[in-house]
Amino acid sequence: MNRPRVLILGYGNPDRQDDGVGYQALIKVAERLGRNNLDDPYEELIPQGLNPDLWFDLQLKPEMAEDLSRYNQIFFIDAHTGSIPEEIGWRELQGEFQTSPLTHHLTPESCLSLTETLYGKKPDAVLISIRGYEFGFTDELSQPTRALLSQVVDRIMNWLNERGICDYPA
Amino acid sequence: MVAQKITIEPVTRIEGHAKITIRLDDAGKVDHAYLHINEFRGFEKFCEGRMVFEMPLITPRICGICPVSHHLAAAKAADETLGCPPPRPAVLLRDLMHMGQIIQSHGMHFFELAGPDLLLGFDADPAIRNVVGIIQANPDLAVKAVNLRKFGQEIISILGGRRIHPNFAIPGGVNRALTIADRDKILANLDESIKTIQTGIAVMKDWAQRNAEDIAKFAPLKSGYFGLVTPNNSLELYDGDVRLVDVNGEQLEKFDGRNYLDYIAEHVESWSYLKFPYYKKLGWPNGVYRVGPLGRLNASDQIDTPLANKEHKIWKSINAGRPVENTLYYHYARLIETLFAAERVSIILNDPDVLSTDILNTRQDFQGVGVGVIEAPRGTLFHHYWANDRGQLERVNLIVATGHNNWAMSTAVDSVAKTYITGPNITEGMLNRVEAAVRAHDPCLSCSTHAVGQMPMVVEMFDAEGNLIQTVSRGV
Repeated sequence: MNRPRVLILGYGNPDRQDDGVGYQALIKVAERLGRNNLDDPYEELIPQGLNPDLWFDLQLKPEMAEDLSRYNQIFFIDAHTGSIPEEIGWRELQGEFQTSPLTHHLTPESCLSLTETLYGKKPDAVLISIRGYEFGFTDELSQPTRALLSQVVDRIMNWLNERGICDYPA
Repeated sequence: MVAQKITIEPVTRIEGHAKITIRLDDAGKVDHAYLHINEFRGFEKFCEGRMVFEMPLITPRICGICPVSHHLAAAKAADETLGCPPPRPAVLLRDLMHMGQIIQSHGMHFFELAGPDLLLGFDADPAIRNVVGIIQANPDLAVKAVNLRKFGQEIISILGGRRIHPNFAIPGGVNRALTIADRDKILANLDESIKTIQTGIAVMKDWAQRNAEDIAKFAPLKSGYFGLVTPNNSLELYDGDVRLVDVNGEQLEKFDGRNYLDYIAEHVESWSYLKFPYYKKLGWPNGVYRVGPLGRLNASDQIDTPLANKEHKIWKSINAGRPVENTLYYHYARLIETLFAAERVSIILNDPDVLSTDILNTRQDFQGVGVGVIEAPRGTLFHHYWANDRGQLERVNLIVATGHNNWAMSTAVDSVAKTYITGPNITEGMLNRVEAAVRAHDPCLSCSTHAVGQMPMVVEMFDAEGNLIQTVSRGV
């Protein structure tokens, strides 16, 4: 069976409450995969040649494009604001470069666009976004966002299990 | 006459957005445009009660992409507060980390953020007016640009020992010496990085030559200029005195950054949370000044590295020796500074002290008050701490680069709106130019949160009767 190489990339600021939901999702997925001995998740949640690979960063950066080109399937995990009606978004992405007018971060579509243009690879990609309710100065998620987190982790694990992906060497 | 108005609103409390309001007059021309910064973050208040030695680890969390500037400014302020000046090798290593930060931040700004506007044109189809358009036009340069940013990040990560939130500078020095292997690893990629920067400079100069008319009318502002300099008034980014020059380039002040409160006051406008710093002696608004790359190159007489100094001479010739006033020249200045930073990396790494293990001064002579000043990529950053005798902070004052440039950004938006917006409808090209007026300053608004669905910029236009006639928002 040809198993796709999968990357789960959570990003956001764990010190700003629900903005860190991508980070918290990765911790939960790592636990469910039996990788629950993370001493320093900031440093250990990086691609290690596992399948799935788990990667955390504060934000998406141009130099990630090269790493993204090594996978067949990428899940981006981020918080979303109340301007998106769903509590949980699960949206397939296409590469499309979007310039942020005032800030320095890239969107997942922009990263994919760079991957495609610079490295000639077009991985399948999904943006999983979770409604954030509070963006205060704390590393604990708000109660409603925490409640959504377990649903997301279940869905990711189901996706992996259906394809027989669970810590197989890449 | 009731003015018309255009507004740009944040969606939520999270950062990374601004609002622009454009008021039109009866004739449909821009009466005034305002840049509103609606963030209120309260960082200073929540640092109260923390121990001063914690600040180099707490304050980088202000920002996601450029934590190094706050990390180092906090360490400098803590050195002073605790009375433990770092030994020279530690200063060199902090300076090296700072150069890594300048390279990655400036590199990303030119090649990935601002470059598409310049190289593909403000009126180009949005589908190609982006970095992918640049890649398609010059694939080799695009890969090199990504590698340049990676080079800067690698310096930070080698020294900081971590990918995220470096733990390196501590009061009295740094906690990690540089190994020969790590020095050589950085040096191995230096020449290629310098070539990439020089290519960027050539692209910028070619663009400037072909777009001289646009540059001339794009927010040319009269102001003072502000930045750190060496004792002989050369460009300095890590340490030095603050130099302030006037609209003609004549020195108004040169002072120790510790005394900044004697020279800087802050003006408040009801339409922005962000204060407007100005030079006290000239008052508001005569005392306005600009910081960041354009401010620093105008405030310095030369640069102490050969390649960057050659470009600095060309810079000085743009306005016949007087300060360069045109906002779009921020981009050229940014590239010259990137070149300086790369050359400075070479100087530091070839200094015999850089491999020393004498990196920490553990003797303290508690002072209770300390100021740390550094040139962050986007301008001068002040950290000022007041601690009680237990080393617990009782008061914190931070003046960030984007604050210094608040007047410049607001005035540039007004100027560009008046120059380019006509009639009641905003076209894509007009909006791009208003955006570019802000983006030239590379503001930090900040990047510390950025959720899906966030609208970093919303423009609202109001007619002469005060009716909202158009709203344009940018996602991402």
